[in-house]
Amino acid sequence: MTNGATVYDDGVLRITSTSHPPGLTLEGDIDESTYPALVHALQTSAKGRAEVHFSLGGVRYCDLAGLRAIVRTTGIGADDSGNGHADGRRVVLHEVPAQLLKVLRIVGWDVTPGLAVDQPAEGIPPGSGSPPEFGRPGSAAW
Amino acid sequence: MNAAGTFEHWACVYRDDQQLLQTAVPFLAGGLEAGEPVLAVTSRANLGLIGAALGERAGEVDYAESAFFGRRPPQRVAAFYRYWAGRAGNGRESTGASGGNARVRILAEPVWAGRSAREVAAWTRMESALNVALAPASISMVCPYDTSTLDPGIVADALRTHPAQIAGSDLSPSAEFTDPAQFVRSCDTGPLAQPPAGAAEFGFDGSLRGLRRFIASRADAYGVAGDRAEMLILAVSEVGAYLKNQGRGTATVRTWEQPGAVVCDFCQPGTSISDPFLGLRPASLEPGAGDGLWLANQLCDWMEIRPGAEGCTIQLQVPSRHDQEMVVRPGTRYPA
Repeated sequence: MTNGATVYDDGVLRITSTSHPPGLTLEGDIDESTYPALVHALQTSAKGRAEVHFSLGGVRYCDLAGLRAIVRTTGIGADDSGNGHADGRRVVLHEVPAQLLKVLRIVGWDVTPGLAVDQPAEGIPPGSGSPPEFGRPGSAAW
Repeated sequence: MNAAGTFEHWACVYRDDQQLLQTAVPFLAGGLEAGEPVLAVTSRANLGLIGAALGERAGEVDYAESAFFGRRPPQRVAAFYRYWAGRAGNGRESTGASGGNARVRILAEPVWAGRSAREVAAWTRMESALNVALAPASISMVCPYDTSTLDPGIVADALRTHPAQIAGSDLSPSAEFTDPAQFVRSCDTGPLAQPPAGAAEFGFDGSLRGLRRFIASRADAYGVAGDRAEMLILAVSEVGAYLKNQGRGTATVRTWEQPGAVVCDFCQPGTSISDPFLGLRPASLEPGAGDGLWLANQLCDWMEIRPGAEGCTIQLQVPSRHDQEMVVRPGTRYPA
């Protein structure tokens, strides 16, 4: 990805815009303290675009609300006035940390229409929910 | 059968194979005839019986072994919801509550044998909570209860947790059915594990990063590592965020290890929790109250809430490092 300007950095979360492909690189902690900045950056990056890419390799922590905001950039579930692609934006997530991928699967957002996870296959097809042992983080069945 | 958007929840009290089949087979076959997705979740023995009775149509029935379809009650609720949302064919999670219009049928027989009293209570509590937690889902669910093997108390509770009974094709309202909120609250009164003298303590003042640093260091001290530590940190931080948003200042967080568990206990004076179903309603892309607690409930072995007169307590338990099922040995490879 070609990194552009840093659009937010409070020492906890750093958000950098990318141009090729268009999107954001997120690094640090996403929780309620950084949520407003995250949402603003997501909306700005997605506005008028049919496809955006978010690079999450530097995310150390992301809560459920932050993850939801990222997924909702697809326009699914959003009160999506004014961004131009409410019904079909493609959102590609790159370098998704393993724990974030698990949460995506547990909550079922991995199969959100328009969402793509650029991640090596781990043997669990999207939409299958969690394996039988889910809720037992760390077990070999994950 | 009702139209979309209503959860139907019926107990089937049976004493032998024949009685089970008299109810289960017409229920499942009726779903197949109506073109509805049909799921049977029960023991291998009963799956075999039902399959044989359905004959050629058995191949159209989705099935799961009960012990593994949602290992604990919160995961069971999520598994039911996921089945409905996925099989209803309506782009699950579009907004969650609006889900889909297709009705699904589920035969769901919990495992009771070998459970501790605490677990039996948790599964009974779930049977009642399902009536509310799955209310938006168009599911018709029959829960078989086998009087030949079950403690009579478990069967008696089934009549309190299901609005109606079904026998064959006959539905009858259950006179003993108890308002789920009342029933679930009555389950949440027993004592929680108490912190030992040596428990670690942290004053949570609203700083979630500080809370995460504390629980990360405690996880390390208890030998909870890797993914398990990450998920514990996530669960604890979500509970902290929930309590912070209650706006009642500080909470005392205590952690300790006890046989079978690492415990993290939040005690927040001045906060009362009135929603007995907190942490059980499946999270969706539409933000809902307590979504973070739903996630914590999915990630931990136990999440127990006590409203309390002086404040509330939320207690999480995850497996300790001694749980051999949890042991990950990166060096181990299956023989070639």
